[in-house]
Amino acid sequence: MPLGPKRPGLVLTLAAGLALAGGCQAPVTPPLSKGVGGDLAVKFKTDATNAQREALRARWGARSGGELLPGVERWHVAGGTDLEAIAQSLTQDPAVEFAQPDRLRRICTYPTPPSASQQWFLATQAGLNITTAWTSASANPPGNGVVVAIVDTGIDTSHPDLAANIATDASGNKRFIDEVGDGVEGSDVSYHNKDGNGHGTHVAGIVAANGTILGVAPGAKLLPVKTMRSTGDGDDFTIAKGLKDAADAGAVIINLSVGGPDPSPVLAEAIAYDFSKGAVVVIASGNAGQAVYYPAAYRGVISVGAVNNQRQVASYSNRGKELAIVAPGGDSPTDRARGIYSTFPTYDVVLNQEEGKSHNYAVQAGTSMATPMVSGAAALVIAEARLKGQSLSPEQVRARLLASATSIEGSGYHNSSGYGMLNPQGALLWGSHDGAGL
Amino acid sequence: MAMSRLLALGGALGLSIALGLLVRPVLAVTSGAPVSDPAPKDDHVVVTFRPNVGDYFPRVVDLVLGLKAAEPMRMKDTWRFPVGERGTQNDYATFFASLPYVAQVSPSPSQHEDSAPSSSYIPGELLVKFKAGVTQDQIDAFNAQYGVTIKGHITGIGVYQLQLPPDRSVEEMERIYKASGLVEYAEPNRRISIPRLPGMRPFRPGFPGSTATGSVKVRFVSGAIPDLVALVYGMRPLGPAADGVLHLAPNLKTSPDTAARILRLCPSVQSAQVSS
Repeated sequence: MPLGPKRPGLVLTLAAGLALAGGCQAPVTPPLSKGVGGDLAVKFKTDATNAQREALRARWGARSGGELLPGVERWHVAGGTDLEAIAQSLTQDPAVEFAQPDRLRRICTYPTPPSASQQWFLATQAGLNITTAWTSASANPPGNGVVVAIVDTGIDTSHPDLAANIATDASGNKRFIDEVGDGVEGSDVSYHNKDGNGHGTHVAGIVAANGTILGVAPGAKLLPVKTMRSTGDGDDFTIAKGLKDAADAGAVIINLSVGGPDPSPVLAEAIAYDFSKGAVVVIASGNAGQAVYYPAAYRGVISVGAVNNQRQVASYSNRGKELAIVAPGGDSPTDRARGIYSTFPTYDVVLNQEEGKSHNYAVQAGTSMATPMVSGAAALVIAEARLKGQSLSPEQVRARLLASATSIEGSGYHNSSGYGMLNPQGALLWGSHDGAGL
Repeated sequence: MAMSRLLALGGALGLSIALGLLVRPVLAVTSGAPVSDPAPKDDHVVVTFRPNVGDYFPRVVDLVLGLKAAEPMRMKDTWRFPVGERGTQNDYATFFASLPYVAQVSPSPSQHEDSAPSSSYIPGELLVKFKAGVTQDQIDAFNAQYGVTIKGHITGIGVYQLQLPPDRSVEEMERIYKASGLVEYAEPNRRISIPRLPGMRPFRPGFPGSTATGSVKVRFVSGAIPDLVALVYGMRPLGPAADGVLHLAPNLKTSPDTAARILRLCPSVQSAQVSS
């Protein structure tokens, strides 16, 4: 019996089995090979005898490669044989329930490796060495479908490198939660449902740009949650509302590149709410070279510090026992070789006027930029887990990222670098997500 | 009172001449010998004024802030001011650093706007979470008792954004709400910013949507001289004072938030809030 829509459960089971056993990739990917030479998956009927099985293998010059699933054999067939033709013939045999080539499946469109001259923080060994990490990822593109909320100044959702990755509603409309609106104090009327500053668009590109430049997780979906005005400032109430609404809107990772020296019970409350909804919360530690800012300092948050292009902790990066991890944040807001190059609004915003930034792309630096690197890596981990049928809690994602981090100041925990430098490949390959004590 | 009137007149006549002439008799009482110790302590701020400011202006500042104990130091144009009861050492350092006539302040204000994000808060607002089991009727009744209205609410976490009446300060209402048995916590609605790198200047106010362009609405205590306070603070009055209220434009060295914060250091000021 041929595989068909009447047997969807079996098809899915087989596909999953093939993917796991053969090291293939997500079944959503179309086959790259027509199946000429290689392996076949053959399921015999329950009443088929061993003699019938051996006779069929002999007829087609195949040898058994063991059992893929109960009743499903893997056959190795000599090269030069048309597997599609064999499978078609086998399915006509009364002893066979179905047969199909063990099709090659892999990520068909790995993102083009990022350019080291533009994005050292992704492409080089001093950075995240992201191309190597992507080869360990099954999701296509890496981070596929994981919703990351950017709680910030908004996002330019029309940016060509971001537009396809903006989260959409059931009708296909781009989503944008604007908490500022005509809001809490004053208004941002010129930039309603837009980024009026540039910071949020830059952060978003580091997570999930997929175009001229790339993000850490180019398959992730971005949920813009605007809580900061064009001037780069917000308030506890508006940010708390954004954190809460982001989780309610289905974000599984919440990125907040914002902070201040004062604790805030309201923000702590909103973060606890996010955890209760299963969201990972990633927050910048701050740029003052002082104690870790709030709300990054709250328990359970992945608080992120910054390193430069030499993997040295940036002098401005806040430090303390609440710091969890460091990632590239650069140390120059103007030099592409030392700062972080990412997407920027396609229209005039505050940072164009204030700092002479160009449209479309710009260099920035700080823990604000290091934070979305970690959010992107979390998206890679979650996407991978989903393909394996796993559901990771925020604590488990945090533990994977921290346990796999690379020491840059000697082994163990350090106040200035936390558990070490973000290691996306290590996080993807991490076998355990217990992480007790981290 | 008479002193205040004289000082007000001084403001009208010009800083350098009038203050010196009019305040001189009073200053004789508070003058002291130069102090040799140059190191600022926690309870003092050491201020070096610009050349030619003279001895009178520091003493007027001293009086207007209610400190009444400024001491000249051996270093030229340098004075030591005690920290008053209306703020921290950092608040007073911020005040002196904001004055156009000041060259240097020690210690430097730690929340200087060029480096650290502001830790100030939205004027007239309080964030409150009431205890579990407190009914909406109880909340409404408690709020009404103080003329407080609900401006926002985050369902799911149960936090209220409260709008305070104009004649109540955030600090006062925070104390009142915290003392209530109905309340789990109460805190100002603090401003929070995108972290800037050290050395980078803050975003310039005045862009579309900016609320940093506001003035400061100052309510003075009875008998105060609003124009004198404006003169000392280097802030421009936006029209005449009416019913003890004067709107001031912050000077070039301060944001509206900071202006409101340092104006509250003055005993003549009953309340100071950013007015957008």
